[in-house]
Amino acid sequence: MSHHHDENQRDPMHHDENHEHDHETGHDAGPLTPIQENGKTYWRSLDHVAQTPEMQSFITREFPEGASELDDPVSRRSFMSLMGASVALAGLGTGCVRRPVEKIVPHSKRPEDTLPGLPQYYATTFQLSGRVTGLVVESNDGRPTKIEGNKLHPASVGAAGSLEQGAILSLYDPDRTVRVTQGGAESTWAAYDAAWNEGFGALRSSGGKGLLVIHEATRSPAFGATVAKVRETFPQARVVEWDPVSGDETIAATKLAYGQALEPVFSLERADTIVAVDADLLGAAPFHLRHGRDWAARRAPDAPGGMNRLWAVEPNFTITGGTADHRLRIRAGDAGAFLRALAAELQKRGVEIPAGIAAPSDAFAPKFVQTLAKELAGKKGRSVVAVGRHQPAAVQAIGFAINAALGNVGETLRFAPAHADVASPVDGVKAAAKALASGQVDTLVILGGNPAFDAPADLAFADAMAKAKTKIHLTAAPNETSRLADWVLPETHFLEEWGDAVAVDGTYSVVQPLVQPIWDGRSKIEVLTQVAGAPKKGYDVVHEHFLAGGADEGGRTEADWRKALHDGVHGGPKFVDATLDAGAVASAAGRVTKLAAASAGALDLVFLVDNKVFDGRFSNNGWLQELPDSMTKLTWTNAALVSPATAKELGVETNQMIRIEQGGRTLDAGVWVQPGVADHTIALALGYGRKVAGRVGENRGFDAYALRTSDALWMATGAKVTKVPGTAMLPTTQNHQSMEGRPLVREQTAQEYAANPTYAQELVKSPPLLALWKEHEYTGQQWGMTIDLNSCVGCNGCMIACQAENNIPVVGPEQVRMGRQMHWIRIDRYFASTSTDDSDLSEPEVVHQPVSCVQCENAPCENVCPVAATVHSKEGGLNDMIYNRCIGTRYCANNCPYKVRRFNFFDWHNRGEGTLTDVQKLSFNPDVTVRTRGVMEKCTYCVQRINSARRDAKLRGSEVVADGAITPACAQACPTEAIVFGDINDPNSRVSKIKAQPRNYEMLGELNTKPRTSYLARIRNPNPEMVS
Amino acid sequence: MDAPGQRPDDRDESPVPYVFPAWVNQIPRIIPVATALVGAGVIFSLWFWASPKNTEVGYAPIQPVPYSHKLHAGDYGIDCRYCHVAVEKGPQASVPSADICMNCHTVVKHDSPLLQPVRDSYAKGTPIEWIKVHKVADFAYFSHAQHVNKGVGCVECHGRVDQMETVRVEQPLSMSWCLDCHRNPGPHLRPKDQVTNMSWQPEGDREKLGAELVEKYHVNAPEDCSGCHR
Amino acid sequence: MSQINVMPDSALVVPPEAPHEKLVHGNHTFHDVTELVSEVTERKPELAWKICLALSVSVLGAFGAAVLYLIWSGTGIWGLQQPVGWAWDITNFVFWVGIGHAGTLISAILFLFRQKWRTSINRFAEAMTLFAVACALLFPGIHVGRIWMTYFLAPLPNQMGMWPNFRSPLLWDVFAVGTYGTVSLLFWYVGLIPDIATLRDRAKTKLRAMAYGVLSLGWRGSMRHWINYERSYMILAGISTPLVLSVHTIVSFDFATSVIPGWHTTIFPPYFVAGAIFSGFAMVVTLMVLARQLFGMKDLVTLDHLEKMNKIILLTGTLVGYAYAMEFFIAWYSGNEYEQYAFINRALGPYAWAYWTMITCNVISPQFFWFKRFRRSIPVMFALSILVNIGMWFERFVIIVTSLHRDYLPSSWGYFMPTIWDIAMFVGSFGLFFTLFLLFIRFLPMIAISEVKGVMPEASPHHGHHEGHGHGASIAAAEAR
Repeated sequence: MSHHHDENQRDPMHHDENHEHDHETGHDAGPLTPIQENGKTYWRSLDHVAQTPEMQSFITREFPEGASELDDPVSRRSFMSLMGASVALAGLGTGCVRRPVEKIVPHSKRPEDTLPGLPQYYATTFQLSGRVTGLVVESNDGRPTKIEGNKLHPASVGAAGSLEQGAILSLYDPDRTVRVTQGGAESTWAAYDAAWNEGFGALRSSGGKGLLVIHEATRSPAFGATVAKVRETFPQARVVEWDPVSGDETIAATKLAYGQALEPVFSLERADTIVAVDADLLGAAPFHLRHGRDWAARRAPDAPGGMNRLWAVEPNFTITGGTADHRLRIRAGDAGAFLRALAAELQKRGVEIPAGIAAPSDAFAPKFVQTLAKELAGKKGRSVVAVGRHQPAAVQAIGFAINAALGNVGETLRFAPAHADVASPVDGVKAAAKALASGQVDTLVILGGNPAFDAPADLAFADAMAKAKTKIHLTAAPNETSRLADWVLPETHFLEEWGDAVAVDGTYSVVQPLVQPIWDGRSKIEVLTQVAGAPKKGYDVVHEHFLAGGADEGGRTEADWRKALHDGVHGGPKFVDATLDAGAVASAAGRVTKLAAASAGALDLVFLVDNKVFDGRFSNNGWLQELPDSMTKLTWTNAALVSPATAKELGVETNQMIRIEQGGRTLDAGVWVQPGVADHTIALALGYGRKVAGRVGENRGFDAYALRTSDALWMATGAKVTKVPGTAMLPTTQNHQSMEGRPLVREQTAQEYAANPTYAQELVKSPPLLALWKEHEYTGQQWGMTIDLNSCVGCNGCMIACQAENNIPVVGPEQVRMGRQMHWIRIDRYFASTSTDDSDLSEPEVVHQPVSCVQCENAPCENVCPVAATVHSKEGGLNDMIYNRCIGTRYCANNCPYKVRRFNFFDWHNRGEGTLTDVQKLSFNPDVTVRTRGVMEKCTYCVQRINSARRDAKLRGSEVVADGAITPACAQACPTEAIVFGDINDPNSRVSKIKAQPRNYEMLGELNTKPRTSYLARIRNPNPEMVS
Repeated sequence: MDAPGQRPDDRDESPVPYVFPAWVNQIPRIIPVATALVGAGVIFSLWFWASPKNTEVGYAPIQPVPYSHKLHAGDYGIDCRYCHVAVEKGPQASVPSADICMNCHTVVKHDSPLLQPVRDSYAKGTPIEWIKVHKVADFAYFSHAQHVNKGVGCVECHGRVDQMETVRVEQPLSMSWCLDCHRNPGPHLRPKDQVTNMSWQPEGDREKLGAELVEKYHVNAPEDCSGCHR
Repeated sequence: MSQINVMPDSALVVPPEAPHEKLVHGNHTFHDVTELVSEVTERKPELAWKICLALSVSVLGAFGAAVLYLIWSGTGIWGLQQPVGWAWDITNFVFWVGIGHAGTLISAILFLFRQKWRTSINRFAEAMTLFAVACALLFPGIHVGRIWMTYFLAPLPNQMGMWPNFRSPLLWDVFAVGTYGTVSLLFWYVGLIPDIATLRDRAKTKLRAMAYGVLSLGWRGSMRHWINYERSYMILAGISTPLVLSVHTIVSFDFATSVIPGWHTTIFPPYFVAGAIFSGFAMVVTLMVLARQLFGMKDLVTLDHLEKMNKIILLTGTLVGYAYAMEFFIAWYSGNEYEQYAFINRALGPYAWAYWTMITCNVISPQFFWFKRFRRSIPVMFALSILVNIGMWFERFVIIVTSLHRDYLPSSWGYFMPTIWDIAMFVGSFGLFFTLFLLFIRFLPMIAISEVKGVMPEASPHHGHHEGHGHGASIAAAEAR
């Protein structure tokens, strides 16, 4: 199942050696002396594991092919010791003399197709509140180190978002649940199993009366089947799905509009006009990576089929809104009214909108609505109207009706059967809370999740939960819920467990483990089978369910299974036809009316899914905490986002603390004045303010769940705000929002571009430039990069990819506030005013510009380094940075016009967020030196990947690396393929062709730095009628 | 009327309050000699004593198993690659796993007490903890495959292992030592089929042969920092 | 009379014609001078001195502790960040190097120009130079991230086969300041030898005799000694002269050769040198005023001396002011938007307060010295000299920090704020400076006895029998004049 020379892989042979085999005796983690960590044994001592039949079978399950020899305890031990070795020596950047003595610990029997120091790749699947993304994970000597997208998976198409990639750090989270505890006291699975079996009989006889199972949202068929089994065994039991952010209304909407539970799937590459109504297609929505790829395919001004146009209508500035050609701020509650107004305009233009849906209104920028309607009317079948999944069912139904009327269904909008028919899940958790509160629950089993923290505030879940007699919580990390549980069971990370998932378009994919559970964990499925009465191993459940399924494909065989493991996916999308029930939609639409106007005294509250910590589950993930929000550039916190106008009206400004009062509940939060937010709206990201989350995540930001009630999960009205004393000191990575009129990001409208394509290049005129020193030769392969500002949406995928690939440390909020963040690639975000008054940011335009080291040919940094720690490489023409030579004068960083150099002011790995534990060391990429304190660091175009590719080429006897054989981490993660890397000395390489485009320009090229990274100007595609 | 502070000059016979004994006059003559000696000492200690030529070369730790390369590789002529399986494929030559030893030693010397650790390892799975002999710094990334496949013989870096009872470091393995070869690889190359041949001697001019091999094998040893450091 | 050691060869120092104005007041004989100067090092230390020493030593101690903590935990203890990678550390460095200019300038250049008035103050100024350079050299040393790797800077053969990067101004800096320090030390020490010998001979205790004996390298004041002495002194003066100009020129290259708007300026070398002399002289005045008060050297270090100093302060201060103006003109004239913004930002940006402090102290305050009254008023010159020192520190701060904190990409703009450790290091360096200084005035002749004698009337062969001359010139009268 490992990928060798698989076309969507970098060939493992590319990889340079690492020092996995070495380890200092000091750190000696020999097989018989498992590493001790905060008192607990990590890497269970294998001797006893080896004896348990469970372990035996587990190993066979994990490595079916290698089972023969992995089944033998011997090589498992040496495998372990290798892990230990890697712990000791994840490339410490120091020490060049022999001392201390190091050991080489070989396998006692070497597993086939493994070579020390060469990585392997496995396909797996990541599930996040019903988002399913196919992944390929790199494993170095048994340590998963890097998550990448799976080209074969429809939701990924080779890309990976920040959350998907960041999830790998949670595997090595030092605060994970490491063992079974009962009432806080250490216990064992054996004890738990005994306790369960004891109670099981009673439950059985009562038909499961008093049994309540709450699990996270999942799109796993195997899990679904197991749930069914539970219902079988315990007819009386209650099994509830609760997930604070997946609870969307889409299924309800499709049932309303089509009479069946469906998932809408958009094909943006077919749409000339895309309308996103409170729908973050490129950001938070399922399939966002795919959406990005498809949208970008039509984004270039010379794209085949012409350039598409994106209209965004939203209450808060989203990634989608940021990239939109036209953007209209509306209150979240007015989306329906807007759609009805739009429908009315369409009707006027001869689009057959079913009766009862259209409702004319001039409350929404008439010109906007009319122009949009006119455009849509002319784009039948080539447009799409996407409505946010959090909008009420009726509103989404109106959206479906409009698409139907425009003939988009089957063209740009298709439907796949919903994974499960879950009517809005909030009902489930409501019922659960009620049952708990009324003391009907004896046994409460919570599989993952954190309801005590994220259940709607009005349910007072924590209090209700206390009433259950036995509370069992399976959780990967201690949280607010597990604190209240009697039994806390360690849950496996998705890289440690077997599972499966179905993407929204119906594509099946497998979840397979990359590593044995680091801690003594079990998966949700495994625990649930036990609840169902027949404990089973995750592998068996998934494997059997796979083979059992596929009746439509004429059955599945073991070979299909092997292929599914290799590819990560099985079968393709499953689309179904659906006919609109216009009557039902109309009657529902009738109840959709415009809200009463909001005011400074009665504000709207909008709850956002945070694009860093998500619903709060990534609170203890340093990479994601430190990731700056795409639009606010806030790190380590959320904030009450208000528009400049509203801020003025409320008399507050950024960092002012306010008390938000909503239906008797209050929350104190810091204000962040954010251009682009609808007036009289406060936008609050969920997931912050965790009280029990581990060393990284506790008490960051403000707990928006405190204001979130079951009847207003996503938007509430009538909130009041009062100032409270105090300053929030919100940490941000960008203090200055304006480009000061400098030609950094260069943009044009499509019309201007047609008239003057070379505008971007000619914007800056400079006299002929001469270099002081002899210029570098231009022979052999010379690496360069282009970044297309037209397709960059600012999703941050590249930042986490870079962080994971290059062992970049996390520094913490205080240090971010001081301006010491370490990201090698950052995304500059500038606001521009659309009005004549530059200071007026009420209707801002936004641009994103990824900036990493541009590898200047005449590099200012190189000349000033007194010890030649940063020099130009002859082969490739890179701007090398040699960490072990650097003495840390910081002169290079001072002299860098792009300010892309990052300095280790402290030993970040041990100071940034607590000291580095042995487990965390397992996450390092062995091909990149871990920088020590006092050293400068920066992007090197992933030189380790370049070298691997060159070595591979050389081994094959060729001196030239084929175009596309090297992909830097950032380019690899980018959903819109905005970043392209290659040989600029080869006129036929992809990058050279792109650099030949008229849109291509060099930022600060007038300094004669000759940057190797150039940008493609952004082209906006406004509707001419809107411009005039 | 002499005031304090008066100092007679050479012509003055008046008694002088001498502060220092006469031998102090020698100091000016001693100083240059002393400086020369100390200087030499410092230079020696820095250039030899503290350099890898001294700190690395000659290191020959006692291994848990008294394995003799002289016996296996020398006398029996077992090819390096029989045990170091990964040397042509991967970055690390790889120390043989116990099962490779047992290929022969289940039959040969199957009861030798010296081989007890190997048998234990094979049976119990406790890996043998060999002591690392040749070491480059962790921030220097080196690939065996890269060198072996370009015609760099094992002996170039490891010396006549086939004549060593216990393996010892023959070369300083210092950065400048690496660079010497990277800057002029020719003289260190040999036909690929002779890579593991410890006793190979070039017939004819090695410089000339080297030049040919550089051509033939597309040898292009990186001299950029990023060739080894990243 | 104890003039034996000066009489025959003083002609080497002084041309036959008598000085126009009296450089030494009061009716002093050679012997008096010897007494006056040496006595300071021999009498029981006065309480004031003890207190001062105790104070500065404790500050020095704190400095040491701060440096240890810095090395222990990293440069992050300072307020440094991106984009401001240098702040107080390099500011202090340039500040101290600047101060370190006066001494050698006075000793060497004025010596070559036969400015005899220098004799009373050069010893003092040279000492100050050395101690300032000592402070300066500390900062480049400790500001790096990996102090234990700084030997990479040394151009020595090594197992890496690596040389330092000779293109880097920072490397030239190390060499320049190093050379300057060494030569200044030699120059100062050679000048000291005859006087140390005097102290040796006056020594009452064995210990002093030994100590000064070693230091005076067996000086016997013979004719040959004097000839060699004068020659070597002349040669060293010759060597030092270009160094005075080169050091700060090269320091200014650290900034001038960069691409950062506000640094990338060809005017820096002359402007830095002028600034250096400016600050150096100010520091000399500050210290002289104190010392001559404390140790009753009013007759040797007269108001005329100080006034001359003040004139130079006025001159250099105005030069510096011109440079400030020229920077703005060039920024405007260049038509380079980044350059223009950098200077607008200096005067009106977040660091405007620093900029205007600098202007006030460096350009406005010296203008008082146009008036003789102020030039000769001890309190005024004391206050102004201190202002100038403050101003010159801010000049370096403004150049370094305001240029860095907002350069090309607005996304990367920041604001530097010092931490307690920045302040500790800055104050601490004064601890080092004053400790060395107090020890110097206590244990070494703070005024060049032999040279001063050389410029006294008695030294002149034409020195006649008009003993009465200058009787009336009491200090009081002199002050009145």
